[in-house]
Amino acid sequence: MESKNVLVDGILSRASAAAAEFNQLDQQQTDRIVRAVYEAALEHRVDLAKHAHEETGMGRWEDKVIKNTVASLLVYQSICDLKTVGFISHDEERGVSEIALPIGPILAIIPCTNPTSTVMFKVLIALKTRNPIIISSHHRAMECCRKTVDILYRAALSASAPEDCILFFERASREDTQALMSDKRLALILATGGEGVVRAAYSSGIPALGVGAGNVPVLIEKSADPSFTAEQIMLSKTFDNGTICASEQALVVEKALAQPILDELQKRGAYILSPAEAEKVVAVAFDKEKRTMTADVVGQSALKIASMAGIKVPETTRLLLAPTRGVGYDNPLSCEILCPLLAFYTVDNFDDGVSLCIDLNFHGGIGHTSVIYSNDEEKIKTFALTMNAGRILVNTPSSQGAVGGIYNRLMPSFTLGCGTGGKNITMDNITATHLLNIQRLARRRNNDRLVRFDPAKFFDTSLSANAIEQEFNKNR
Amino acid sequence: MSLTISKQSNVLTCQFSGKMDTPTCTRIDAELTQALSTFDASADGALIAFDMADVDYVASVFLRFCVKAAKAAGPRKFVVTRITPSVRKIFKIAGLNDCLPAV
Repeated sequence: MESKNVLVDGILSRASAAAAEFNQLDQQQTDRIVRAVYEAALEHRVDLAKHAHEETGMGRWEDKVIKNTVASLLVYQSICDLKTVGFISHDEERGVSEIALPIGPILAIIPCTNPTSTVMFKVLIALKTRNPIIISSHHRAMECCRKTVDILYRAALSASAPEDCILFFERASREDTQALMSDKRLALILATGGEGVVRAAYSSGIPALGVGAGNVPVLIEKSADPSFTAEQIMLSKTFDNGTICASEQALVVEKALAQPILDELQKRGAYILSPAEAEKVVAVAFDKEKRTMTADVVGQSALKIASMAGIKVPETTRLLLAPTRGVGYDNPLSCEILCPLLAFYTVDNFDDGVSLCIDLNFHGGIGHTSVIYSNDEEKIKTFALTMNAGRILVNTPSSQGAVGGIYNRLMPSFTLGCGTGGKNITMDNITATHLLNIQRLARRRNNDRLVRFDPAKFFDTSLSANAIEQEFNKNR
Repeated sequence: MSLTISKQSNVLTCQFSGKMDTPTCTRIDAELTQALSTFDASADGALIAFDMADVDYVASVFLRFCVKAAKAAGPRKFVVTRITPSVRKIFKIAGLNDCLPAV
């Protein structure tokens, strides 16, 4: 027994036993469990979405239904045919076979912005890889996550899954969470959430797959279609009231298109804030001391935020748009704020636009997501080569685009890696393949050139590197 | 010509062109160092400006030139102008944010 914390010890003992049992399941048994869990998740997509909305007070339940659908249906379809048990590949020529091993108990940190959908996603990829999973929810989403776990666990058991393959962490204190995170029986922490929780995961000494902050710049280049672009941006930035970390944060528009874009956005319910109004909104949306968005505005509607800021906007308002200049903490509009508030920059030309997007990208959003609206292939490529983002989306709403599976063929995921820039080990959309240990069985395949090579020559100091290489490659 | 130096009203402008790789930087080092050594940071409107409009590659030694120029100039008296987006990114990666022009 490694932990003296009774709560932690209890849950990890159960998870370890489940891991042991899981090891013995074959691919068919595993897939049957995953299918049963996926079906239960999809069947409960609406009631769990409503529950999440009621409990957290964030977002829109209708959009949370879509999230739950993506997290169940699209995630399932993306992993159902994967081989995740035993021998999963064999290369006769190289003589290398790959064997998939489960990694062991996973701790899943769940954010309050996407609670039920993230539980569904993480449970599906964990079970597909025969790993037990412990769900630790944000305190604002405890009940909806507990209910999701109950539903999924019952479905798993009905398909003969190991007992305790899905566990809910009834944490009593911060110390409990820390004790759980640092217990050596844990194999991996799958950390989705704010900077604090991700850093805690990385500091625990247990391997962690985390996420980085998003501060998504959108370059609207002069060849873009204003009407289409505005439609996509409204679709994305108002989705679940902007709770997805991949949602647009700043529009960077070439001046030739600035007015048409503003007009098209206004037609669709955007309200353009005056400098004085923008200042009032910033005052309620951003904590300058902590240099972060305030929790009060996350996932709230444009109308509510306007009301909180004490400004009057038309009842049809769905998005607040703030024309601005400059990037840095002295301009909070250039920072990540997860609600229907968008910074709007006008630039003289494409190069200035890319430069500004680099500044925004490096100001708290490295490795996450960048977007370009353009019909000029060369400019799209230039933009892509200059950004540092795991997902560079073209003519695509970024909230839905980055998650994958809807507008592109990225892997559907609710945990978006941001690479080393975002302090993550990968830039991938995290999925089942990240939750396996892959053993390689290597059959004897002699390196013929090495066998033929006279080993005495290794010790002949008169031979140059080139001479040795030529000899090594002779008669290939 | 990789470096053209001009001075007007206490503004020292160093215009670079081409690849600022290690051999090029080694070649222009003495000329640049000489120009920086004559710069009077206390003069009215004193400023060192590196014009990068025609630069498409910077080696680490060039970034050290920037640090040297920033030190010679003092706070907020060294700027990089007309920088291309791809070279701007290199400055960001190197953490040389303060000298970059606002967009």
